[in-house]
Amino acid sequence: MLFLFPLALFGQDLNERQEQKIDKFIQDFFKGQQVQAEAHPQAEGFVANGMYRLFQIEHEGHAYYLYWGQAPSMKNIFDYALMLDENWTILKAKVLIYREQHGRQIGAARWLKQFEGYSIRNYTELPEGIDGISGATISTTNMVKAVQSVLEGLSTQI
Amino acid sequence: MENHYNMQDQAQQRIIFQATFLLGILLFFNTVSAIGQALPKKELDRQAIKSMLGCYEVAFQYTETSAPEIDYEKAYDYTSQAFECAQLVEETEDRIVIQHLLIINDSTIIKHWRQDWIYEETQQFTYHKDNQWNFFELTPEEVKGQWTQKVYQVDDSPRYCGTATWVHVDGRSEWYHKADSPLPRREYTKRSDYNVMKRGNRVIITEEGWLHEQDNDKVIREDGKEDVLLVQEKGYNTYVRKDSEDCQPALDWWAEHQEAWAGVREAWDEIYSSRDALKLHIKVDGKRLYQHLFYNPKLKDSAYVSKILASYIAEPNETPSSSSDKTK
Repeated sequence: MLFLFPLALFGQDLNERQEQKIDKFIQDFFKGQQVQAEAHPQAEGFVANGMYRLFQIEHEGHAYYLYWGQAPSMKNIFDYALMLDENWTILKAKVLIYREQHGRQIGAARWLKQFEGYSIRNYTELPEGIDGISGATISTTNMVKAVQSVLEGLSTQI
Repeated sequence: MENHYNMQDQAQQRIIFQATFLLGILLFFNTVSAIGQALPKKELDRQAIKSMLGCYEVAFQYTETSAPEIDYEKAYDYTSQAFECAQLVEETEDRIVIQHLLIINDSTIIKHWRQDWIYEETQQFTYHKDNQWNFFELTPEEVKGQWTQKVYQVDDSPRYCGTATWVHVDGRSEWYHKADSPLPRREYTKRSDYNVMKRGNRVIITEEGWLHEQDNDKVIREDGKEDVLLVQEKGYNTYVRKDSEDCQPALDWWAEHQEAWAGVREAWDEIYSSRDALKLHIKVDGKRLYQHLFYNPKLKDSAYVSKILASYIAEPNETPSSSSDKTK
């Protein structure tokens, strides 16, 4: 196990699949290097369904922040994750779990790449800056809204 | 004197190659276009297989298509090209062996893959995982009318195998089988997120040459668990026929080395015939098997070759070595 992911910091509802997906997201981002994710000191401001959403990771003298969230798709919810740098700028966005067949195009790396560079300073520009995807309008719109809401929350609470 | 005979041999081989090639093409398209079924089905099959002989410009294209898990990030597309000579190595009524030779910069020759086509073959093999192939037998009824394609690596060790029926319809000849195989060479040293490729191999004979179309599943195989599909992949490799003169350097090279490689095939056949399973080390003394065999002046020494091959055979429960830790 390369990653020391303190499960206790998540609430009781994080299931094994979610844990694996978040773990893999971190593993891929740090290219297999061992890192430890801990709940952010102000994580209590970012709790949903009894689960912490905001974590911090120290790596080679730099701070990174992981946000794990959920948003509605057409008939269900999907899980996504953001990796941010110490200036609260998105470095990577990824859909981790999608629970229906309709709109799976949202997982395309090319679409998700559009979130990179948005931060607590320019999040208001988000809706205009992200192209939609035909056939995944509901999911993509909701992901944009969710990310904007996260960045707005971070800008006011951190 | 020896040189004189060599030149004679090479000239003879060139004439045979060109004649076989032209005759094969003529016969194949004449018969397929007039599928009044004048020829027996088996003969049509043989002609389709033999029409893969000759000189080809090859374009390789692979693209990952769909993955069950949304967080899977597709790999970059892979494209490459090569110039190849497909040389007839053995031919009997029920067996056609084709050796592919790469021609680089018009003169450098590299022994490439080999495909053996065997009619109603009951002896089969399949890739398991961890560089292990399992051998098994089918009944004559199960392979009736079918041709088995056995594909071997550059060092003549196994790669994948499958049996299916050649189909000749609407002026088109094709053969399809899905076979478990190790990772392809293009990903062998680059990927560790899957360990078995289920290769959907479709061979289609075209007027320009032939098409190797693939619908591959990259799967994760663990003992006692069901295979997990990581991602699917489309492969589209086109073989466009070129002038046979362009293959002359490969023909010359093969004329010089075919005897030694016949010995290597024999040594392998002996190993295959005595086992239910074959697990191979990836490296011995820090070298892959082909590095021991290629350009080795001792290749004609059958005892030496057998010893080299034997050094790569791992015990059934042994983890195949992948670096220089295994020594002879």
